[in-house]
Amino acid sequence: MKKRFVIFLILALVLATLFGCQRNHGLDAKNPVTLSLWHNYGGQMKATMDKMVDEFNETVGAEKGIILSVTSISSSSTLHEKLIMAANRDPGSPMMPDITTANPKTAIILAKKGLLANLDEQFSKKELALYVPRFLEEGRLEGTQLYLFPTAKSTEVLFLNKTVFDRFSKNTGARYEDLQTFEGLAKTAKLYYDWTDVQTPETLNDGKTFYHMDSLFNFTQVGCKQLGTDFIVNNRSDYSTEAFQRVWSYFYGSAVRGYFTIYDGYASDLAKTGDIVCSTGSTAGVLFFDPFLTYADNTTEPVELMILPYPIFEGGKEIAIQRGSGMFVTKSTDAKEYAAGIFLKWFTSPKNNLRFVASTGYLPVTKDAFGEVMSEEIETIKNKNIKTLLTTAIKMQSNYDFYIPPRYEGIDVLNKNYETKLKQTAKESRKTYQTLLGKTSNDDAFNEASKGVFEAFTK
Amino acid sequence: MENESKRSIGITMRFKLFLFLVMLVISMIVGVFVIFTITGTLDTGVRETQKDVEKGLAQISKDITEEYGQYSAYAIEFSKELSRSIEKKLEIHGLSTIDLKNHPELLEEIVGGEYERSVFALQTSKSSGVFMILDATINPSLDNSKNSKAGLYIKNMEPNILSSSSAYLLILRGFSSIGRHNSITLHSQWRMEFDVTNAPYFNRLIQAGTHHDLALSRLYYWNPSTTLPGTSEEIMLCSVPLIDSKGHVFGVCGFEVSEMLFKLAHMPDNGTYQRIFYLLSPRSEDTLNVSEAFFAGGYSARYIAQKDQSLMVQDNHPFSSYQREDGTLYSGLHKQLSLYPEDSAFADEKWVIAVMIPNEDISSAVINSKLQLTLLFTLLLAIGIIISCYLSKRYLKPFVKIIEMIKSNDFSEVSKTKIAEIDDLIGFLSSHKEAIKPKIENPENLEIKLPSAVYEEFVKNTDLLSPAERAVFNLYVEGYTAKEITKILSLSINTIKTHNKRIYSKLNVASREELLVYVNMLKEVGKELRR
Repeated sequence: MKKRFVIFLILALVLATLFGCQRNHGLDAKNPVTLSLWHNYGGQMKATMDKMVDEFNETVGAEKGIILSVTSISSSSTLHEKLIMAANRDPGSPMMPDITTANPKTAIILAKKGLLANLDEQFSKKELALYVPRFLEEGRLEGTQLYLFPTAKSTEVLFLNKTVFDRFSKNTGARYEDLQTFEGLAKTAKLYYDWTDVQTPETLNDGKTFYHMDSLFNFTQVGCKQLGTDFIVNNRSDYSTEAFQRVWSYFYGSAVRGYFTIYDGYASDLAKTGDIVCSTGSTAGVLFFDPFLTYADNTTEPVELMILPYPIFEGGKEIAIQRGSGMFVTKSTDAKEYAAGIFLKWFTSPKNNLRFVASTGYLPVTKDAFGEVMSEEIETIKNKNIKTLLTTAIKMQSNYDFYIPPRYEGIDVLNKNYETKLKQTAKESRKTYQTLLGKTSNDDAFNEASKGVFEAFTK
Repeated sequence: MENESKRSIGITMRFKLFLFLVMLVISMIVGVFVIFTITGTLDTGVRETQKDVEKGLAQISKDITEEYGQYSAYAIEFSKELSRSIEKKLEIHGLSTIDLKNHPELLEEIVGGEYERSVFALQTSKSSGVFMILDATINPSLDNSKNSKAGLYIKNMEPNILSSSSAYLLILRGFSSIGRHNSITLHSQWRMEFDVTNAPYFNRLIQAGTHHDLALSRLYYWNPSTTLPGTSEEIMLCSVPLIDSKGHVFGVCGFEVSEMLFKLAHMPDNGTYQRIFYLLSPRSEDTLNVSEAFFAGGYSARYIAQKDQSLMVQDNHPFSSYQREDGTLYSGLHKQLSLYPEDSAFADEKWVIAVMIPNEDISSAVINSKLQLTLLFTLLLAIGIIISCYLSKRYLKPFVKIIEMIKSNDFSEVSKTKIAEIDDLIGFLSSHKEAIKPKIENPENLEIKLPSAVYEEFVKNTDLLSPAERAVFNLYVEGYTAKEITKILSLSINTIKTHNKRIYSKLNVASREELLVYVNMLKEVGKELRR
């Protein structure tokens, strides 16, 4: 009898330890699991991210047995390329990280290859209910599974060099209110071009560009949406609508005339050297705008940045794009996926999310954090630009509708092709326009340069 | 009477055997333990770790010496080519490098003209950045223009990815026109010129370059980990002076190695110790300067927020210990690196490569393995005891059976046990069954012939009986049982028992049966016992 009892006891102990392990999904504080992390919070955001990673490792990570190791800090476009390379196992490609920031367009490609962990398994329904629903929706790819977890959302706004604009408006009567519509923006751009042209009387037609769009593809989608149609239908671009023609011509017209830039980089690049006055781009780019600009002779001028809501086409609806990245988790072991879930929860908890937001300019992702930001918390944010940005973003949050671009595998290619084609077309037309400028009036030159171009483009 | 016999047997065979087996198990375990201790198998864990760490350290030391030697070599080549090229360009304008300071209008053209060469050098060296800083500024009339220097700094954000396109190149310093002309974007922390206020990678080199007796290969300098003003990335710079054919130093150039590049190239194997990391650090006496060091591994001994951190080094065995200012301890090993040749202008700069583990990880690993061993030995002991218990029972089963059998006197159910001795005994007993049986059953039929002396003595002894005892004895002689005697004499059974005892001892018999044997024999012989 006694013997049987002893055997039973031993068995009970063994089973208990086994079940104990199960509850922790194999995580053990004495034997931590290492997660490699890629992110695009470099440059001015790096210090914040470094600190948060270290803090996680020293608190929750040490407690549960997780070590986060950052193995790449690159721009989101570079990360996209690296991840595609890694997913395709191209020669010389880096190893897939365990967690990485990514855009929906990257995530969808990898999800289709079956490389991503389903994050629904790491979060209970109650936990998911804490997040802004449309942010979660954007991360549900391949039907309904949550592959991309919202960590850093953004939208697009109008960044304005107030210092230069004030100087300009004093002389020309240009107003901020004009920048509320795209048409008003184009008018102001022409005004600026003429004003700067006049300042160099020896050279004609060397006026400066006023405005740059970071993403023509986004602009086209949102513009059409504002005017009541879709640009992407059945995973293909629809050039047939009137709205599209209006949107296309809007950019083409000002670009050919030299009021808008035709440039492959980001607006912040051009802003540093004073080559533009305003731009539309992601709220995530706020830190990339220097507090001063550098002229060709190395003199610098402090810049006050003004952040306005995204412009609307006249007669159109108040719609802006929902952007921003999330993080996805590569499919691997139970323990690693569970560990990644723990990090995501920690990183997006309202307190940590707000801390991240206050130093980067991304938007909060939980309903709680959004609520808090609306209150006095916003006053405590040290960075003036970020404070301005968040105020504008909150305003837009309540007044605008947000457009979520379709998530399907080919959208990345469509994006690239459209932008390349449009910029190329505009560049060529501009060259023609510039050659004709000396000989005829501006309008005639433009008509000549743009003859048949739209038809050729939409063929 | 049966109870008495049982009590006097003592420990059971089974228990004794069980004890012997347990002793065997214990002595075996102790023996194994002693062998482990003698051969040092118990310490193997720690010793193996030390060997692995030493090996890892030797390997990375070799790798870094080679790798950084390569970077240095490339930097020297780059400097030679660059200085030649710039000198030639200035000659075309009828100028020499000394005039550079006074002709800022030429800077953009000169620097811009070296873009291709710089990108090529960057890609060949596989470093994360290439730079050149000229001792001139584009606008000498500005404040602090003394410390503002024109130049070019191109970063490769993904040096590990071979790419023919310039997709990963960014301009960190230099004329924005260079970026625009070559379709390269400006880095988010771009400035037009270099701020060399606190830049040993410029100032020390300009100074050192004036030593005309030293070859260029003795003039390169590795700037410890730092961030350029206004930037966030930790980098090391290998800087070489730009010297023209007449020996005039007019700038510096070189390559950048970012901490990320270092980390990716030298990740330690964290199979045994998850928080193991490498540290490439300048050394001054017995401290390692953590703020100027590179880390590789998932863990870093550096707190982000603090500046001027250092580790105190204490040589020890098997591992050295390193202590942070707040008391945190690390164990590991380190090795001196020779980044410079002996006669370099910077030969005094001491560098060290170290491999470290937080102290608590090593001690917890040691405790873990000891605990594991203890648990295993205990488990072994427990299993040994259980098996001993079972074996002793199994082994003695046939013996127990045979004893029961003998007691029950029934040999018909016996099956051969296949144990030689037992089967032999069974055989013996069953053949002598009849001989033993009757003798035991019927004392009245005894036909033992006892010598007359024994009879005489018995009879004589009966005279010793007291009257009370005699009364009892007579009744026995007549054939009454003890119970019947209690009734006849009106005595308690205990009294009868007491009398019995006395009677037996006086008559020298052991039991009533024996007594009756004597009595019956005497009856037969005709002796009269009744008095």
